[in-house]
Amino acid sequence: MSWNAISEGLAEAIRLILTLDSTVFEITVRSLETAGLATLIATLIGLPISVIITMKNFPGRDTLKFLFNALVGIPTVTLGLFLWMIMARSGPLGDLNLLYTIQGVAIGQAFLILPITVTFIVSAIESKGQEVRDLVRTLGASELQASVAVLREAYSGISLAIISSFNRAFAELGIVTMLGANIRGTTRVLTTAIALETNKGQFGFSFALSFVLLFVVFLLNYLIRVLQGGDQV
Amino acid sequence: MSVYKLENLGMVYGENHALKDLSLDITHRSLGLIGKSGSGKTTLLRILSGLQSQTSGDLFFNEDKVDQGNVQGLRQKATMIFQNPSFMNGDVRTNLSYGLRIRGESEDVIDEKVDEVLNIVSLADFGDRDTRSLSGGEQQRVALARALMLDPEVMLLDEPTSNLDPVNSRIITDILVSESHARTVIIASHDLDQVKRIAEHVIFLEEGVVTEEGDPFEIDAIRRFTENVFVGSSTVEEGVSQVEVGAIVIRTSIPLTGRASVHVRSQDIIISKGWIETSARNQFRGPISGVNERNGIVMIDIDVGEVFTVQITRRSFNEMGLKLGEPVNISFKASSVLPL
Repeated sequence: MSWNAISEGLAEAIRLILTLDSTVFEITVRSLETAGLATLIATLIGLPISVIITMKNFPGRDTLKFLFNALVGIPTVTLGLFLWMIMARSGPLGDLNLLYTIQGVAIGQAFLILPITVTFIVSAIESKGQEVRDLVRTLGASELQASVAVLREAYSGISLAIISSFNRAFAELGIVTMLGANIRGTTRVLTTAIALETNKGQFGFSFALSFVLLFVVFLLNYLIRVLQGGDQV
Repeated sequence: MSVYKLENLGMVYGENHALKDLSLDITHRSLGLIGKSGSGKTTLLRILSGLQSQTSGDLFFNEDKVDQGNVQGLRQKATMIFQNPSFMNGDVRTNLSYGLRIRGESEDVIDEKVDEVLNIVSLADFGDRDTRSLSGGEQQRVALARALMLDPEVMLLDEPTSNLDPVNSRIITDILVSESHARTVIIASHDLDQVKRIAEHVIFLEEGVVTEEGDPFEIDAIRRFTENVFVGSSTVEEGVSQVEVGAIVIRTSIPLTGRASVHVRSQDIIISKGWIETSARNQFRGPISGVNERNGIVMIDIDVGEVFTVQITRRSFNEMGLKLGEPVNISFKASSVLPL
């Protein structure tokens, strides 16, 4: 075990990546799909919520902010159990047949990362918000134009929030296991496959998949950084 | 005709009354706002620029009452320049263009105007520079140029030169003097020489109330504020700020770091003939360089490296037998040194 297994795992990972191993490829693509879909859902819901929290004054605003902050650390098993009960055949959303599907897993991940998305975007907008808002309003901008300017100036922080959310979804295990059940060819993703292979004592393959997981995370973050112009993330 | 009219205007933040029942008729082309930090100058400027709404009373701009429905109209005509200028991502040209771009001006007109205003602020070749790479003085000049792009009816300036070196400060003041002929300029500043150069009328704010107004060369507040105002570089040691002003160090109990302006009221300074053992953290020695009497009060100038003006009664002056040129000690508490 130990160092030997790690170096063997690394070698195996390189081999699997270079030979475009079909199993690894399939699991990796599925991981990207679910995390991508989850991030899309969380962003579509989280961005408007963040804009409302930062730009509108309404009763309960601080409570809502606190709630999203607190939910950043929600135990995934608790959330997984809660969502499992809702999605189960006898649950309120049972008819939608979401349980043990990629869509169900993505929705679960979206719930998990939504507080991260909102909290980080709120923080990004607030760090720029008042200053930029005052500036553009005194230059004659309408409230709508001011909001657009604030969002544009907070672009780097918003991107970072979305990337962090994606990374969290991509590396998620608890919810994926409960809602996806690690079914080969259907809901098996990198994290559940790593857990399974480790349980089977296949440490080399586990390490290989772990390195693939890390490689994808680094590669995506690097690409986004390059797209953003180098040093803004 | 009034540019602005304020009727019983008030502004409350929680328990704090930043402006109290202010009634003013602003008719002058150039107005100076003076007063200590926290006296309500910035709040007043923000309300006049339409960035903030008052909590009571009414504001009129060009005879029209300002409300939520028409405040954007005010903001399109009155532009504020902040103490610390902020910028959007991008170069100088992008930042200068924003105001005209949202007004739908053509790019040709914008380009021409950018060149024109950059010339006014003597930064002709700065169009392609990233705003965040500029020095503080250059940034404030760009902020001024950005306001001039809009040819505003009113320019409101909140301490525009308080963090700047004398060269940039002079450039900006010169431009403001010239611009005050073309538009209304309202400036809050601790630099009283600047206020005197720019403003034809001055109001003095104390705790949200106008306590004095008039010609900048005549009002008493200016005189009081010109006396014992020192600008230096401050560091904090053991909870006491030490403001290095020329050859002397003034100690104040208020935490100040970096460039700082401080003020000591002339009535808070004690004169003694020799060194005295005292809890006062500031004690200096120097000759009497001037004696003036105003309304039964004797104002004595003492040159300790910097000139302090000290106010004493005629009786004290006579009993101490003070004479011009005689060396004396002055002392004052660290808590009597107020930041400006």
